[in-house]
Amino acid sequence: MRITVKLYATLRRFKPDLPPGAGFSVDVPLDATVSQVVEQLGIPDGVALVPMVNNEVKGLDHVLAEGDTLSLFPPVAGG
Amino acid sequence: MTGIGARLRTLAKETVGPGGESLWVISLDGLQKVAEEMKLSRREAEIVALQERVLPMRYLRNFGTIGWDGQLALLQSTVGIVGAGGLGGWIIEGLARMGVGRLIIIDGDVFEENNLNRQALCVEHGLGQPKVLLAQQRVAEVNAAVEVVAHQLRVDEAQMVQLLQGAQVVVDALDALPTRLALQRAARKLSVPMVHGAIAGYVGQVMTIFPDDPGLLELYGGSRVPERGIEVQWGNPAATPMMIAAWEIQEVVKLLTGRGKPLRRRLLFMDSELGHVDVLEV
Repeated sequence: MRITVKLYATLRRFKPDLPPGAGFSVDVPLDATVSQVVEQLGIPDGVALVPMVNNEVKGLDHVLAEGDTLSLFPPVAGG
Repeated sequence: MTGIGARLRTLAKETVGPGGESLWVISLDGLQKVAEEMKLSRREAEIVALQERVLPMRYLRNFGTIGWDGQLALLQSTVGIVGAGGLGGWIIEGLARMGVGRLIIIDGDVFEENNLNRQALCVEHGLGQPKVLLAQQRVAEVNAAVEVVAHQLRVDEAQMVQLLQGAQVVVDALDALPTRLALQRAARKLSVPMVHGAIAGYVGQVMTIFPDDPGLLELYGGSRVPERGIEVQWGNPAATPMMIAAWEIQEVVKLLTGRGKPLRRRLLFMDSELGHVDVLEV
């Protein structure tokens, strides 16, 4: 199945050539979880991130569906 | 016109308002005289002047956007700011300039040299001094009508609830995720909205969270809550806190004046390196 992925801030380095704010299509296995896609994108285990699926915060074990948009944010906590 | 209204007008001058209408404005000296004569605080004198439709000159450039009712609402409001560092310094400065009448400022830290690159209240002669003390001094210099209640304390959730009593809005100017979650829980208990802001490198985010909104508790409430974010690697250059603090100030003003549309259930995520801003419905 095909989903759209958007990477933000520091996570952009895993797909560096995209224009700002653009998403990209990724073919993933049927019933893939967020964490499987994160791994498929080459983002290492220890990298902290907040996944949103269609603008809702989801866990790493959330099962994706065809056409979903997965946005990955780094935690931002400075002040 | 009341007696006080007539007295105010003898000290004020008539000018032309932003819409071409007649507008009475009063200077700082005039307000000081009224305050002394009527035994009022500066804040009370400004409130009375606004009620009598005499505008303190210092708010003339606020007037076109927030009007009489907006300025009165600000002067009669209390805002709690937790954190007086990179975000907090600019937020305190901005809210004092807008004329928010009462600020509760909480921060347990003293100024260190590595704060000098970005923290509005941090000056060379203030190193080693409590952040809340310099905040109080700065507000007194910028707008003596603003009353400050300062607490030099690292607070937990229960203390936040206790010390932020009376605030209509609380502002997140913190620098760690767990204390931000505690502040959201405290704001829930106080039934007031919280304006969230956070920064790292060229990146920052803003969101206004009402008591029954999921907010940060959903965003970071899962099992893997890191204490810090990517600011550990990226640091905090000078402009980023200004940019996010400016958004937070504007959110507070909108909430207090009841105008505009807050960033509620919308996360504004700014990447100033790319010149890109996303507003995500969350």
